[in-house]
Amino acid sequence: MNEDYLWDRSGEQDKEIMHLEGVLGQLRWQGSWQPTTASNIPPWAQRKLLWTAAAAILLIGIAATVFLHEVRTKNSVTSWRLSLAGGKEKVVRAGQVIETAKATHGVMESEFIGEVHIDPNSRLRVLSARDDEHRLALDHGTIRALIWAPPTSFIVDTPSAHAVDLGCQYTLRVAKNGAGLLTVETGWVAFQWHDVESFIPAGAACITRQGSGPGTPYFLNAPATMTAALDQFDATGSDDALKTVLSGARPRDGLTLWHLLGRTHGEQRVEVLNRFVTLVNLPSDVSRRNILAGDRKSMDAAWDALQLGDTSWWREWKRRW
Amino acid sequence: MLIEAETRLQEATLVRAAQGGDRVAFGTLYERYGRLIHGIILAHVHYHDAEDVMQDVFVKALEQLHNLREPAAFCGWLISIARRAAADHRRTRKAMLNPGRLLAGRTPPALEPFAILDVVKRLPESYRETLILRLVEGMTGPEIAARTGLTADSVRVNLCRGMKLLRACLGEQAKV
Repeated sequence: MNEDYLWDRSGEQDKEIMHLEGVLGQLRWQGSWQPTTASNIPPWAQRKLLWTAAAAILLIGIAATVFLHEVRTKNSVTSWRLSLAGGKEKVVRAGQVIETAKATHGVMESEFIGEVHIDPNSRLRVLSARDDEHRLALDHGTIRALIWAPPTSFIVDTPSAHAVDLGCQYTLRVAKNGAGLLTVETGWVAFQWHDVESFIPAGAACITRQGSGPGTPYFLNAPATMTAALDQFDATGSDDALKTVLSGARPRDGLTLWHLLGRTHGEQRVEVLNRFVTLVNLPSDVSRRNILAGDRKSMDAAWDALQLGDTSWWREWKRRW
Repeated sequence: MLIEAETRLQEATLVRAAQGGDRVAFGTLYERYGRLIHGIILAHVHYHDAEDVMQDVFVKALEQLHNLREPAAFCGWLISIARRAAADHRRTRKAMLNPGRLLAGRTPPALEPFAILDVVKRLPESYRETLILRLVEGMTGPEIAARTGLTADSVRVNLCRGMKLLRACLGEQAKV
């Protein structure tokens, strides 16, 4: 795809985009202003104004009824529709609590957001449903989400982290003690708690614990000894556990090591960086000193070297506009 | 930059004139913003209803124009009226209830554009609006950014990611 052509029709012509322009251009608005001298209001506007006046009286009555109804019901209706155990779909209101029994499966769907499958024994709350933010809270249980809302607009709170969708499909499990496990099937999810962030791509997972937030993400096919040691390191910060993680890491586990660079200090960070540079080809203009100092530009360059996608796109998603 | 400032000044002059009852000025605004408003509405409602909703938007704008204190805010104000009108229309789902009237008095375009438009309309909203403004209404990225108030970076990202998604969806559909 020629992005310059898509942007402003400059550069080399892109045949696929030109075809779409040609086909969809048939639906382009072709109207024009038709001035008349009879009145300051155009004819279509005059007709509309008459209808508007008649409709206004009716609408005031309807609006008053709706307003009173909303005041009574208090919580607004969201775009979510819930079906429990394959039953009839029902509207979901902000503030609603959804609990599934031992053998009950639930599905929430919204044409604007996506689908959320709720496993048995789960407790899910609908916190907000604004245009720019759809927020749920999973107190315990399991949900599987397939989201098509724009990245960052779908968020699931857990007792120990917020899962921010970056355009993807994922499974989130929360135990009754508040610990969680996020597994990403496609796309990306950011797991956040205060200033701790983990970026989890497809094929990776991340554990979160109450009190300490998201742990270090790892690929699901990473060596078992490495992931067990990582779990121990996240919980205790043990030097031995870190050594086992580093010795077991493969080039693909640069993802894990990149996160560790931001979560270790002093000698531990030096050890992580030493291993990182043997697994990942850093650009020649990125200095070890800058990475050890946590310089954002250098950390971005180190991330880009993982070839999991350019940092610019997720930094873009993090920007509110 | 100078041209952009000049255009804004012209628009502010047009809005003030329209507020004073100058219908030629309002007509100029209608023609200037027609594609933008049609594109935004089209991202939410059926093609055959888009023009009616668009006219409702301009009627409302004409009625309420005297309440607009800042002429420079005209475009954003008009876009918010359009989004609200489209959302109201969606709730009533007029088109779905009465499909017979859709084609009355109009020559429908071939089926292919509708099929592709359907796919575009299943994309997330931010991609949907931007792609429709670019591919249907023929606006360029810089024009979309200038008119919608989004940053050029945001429009560029929406266009690129939206186009990639659209291509993937069209590819999937072709397989079926």
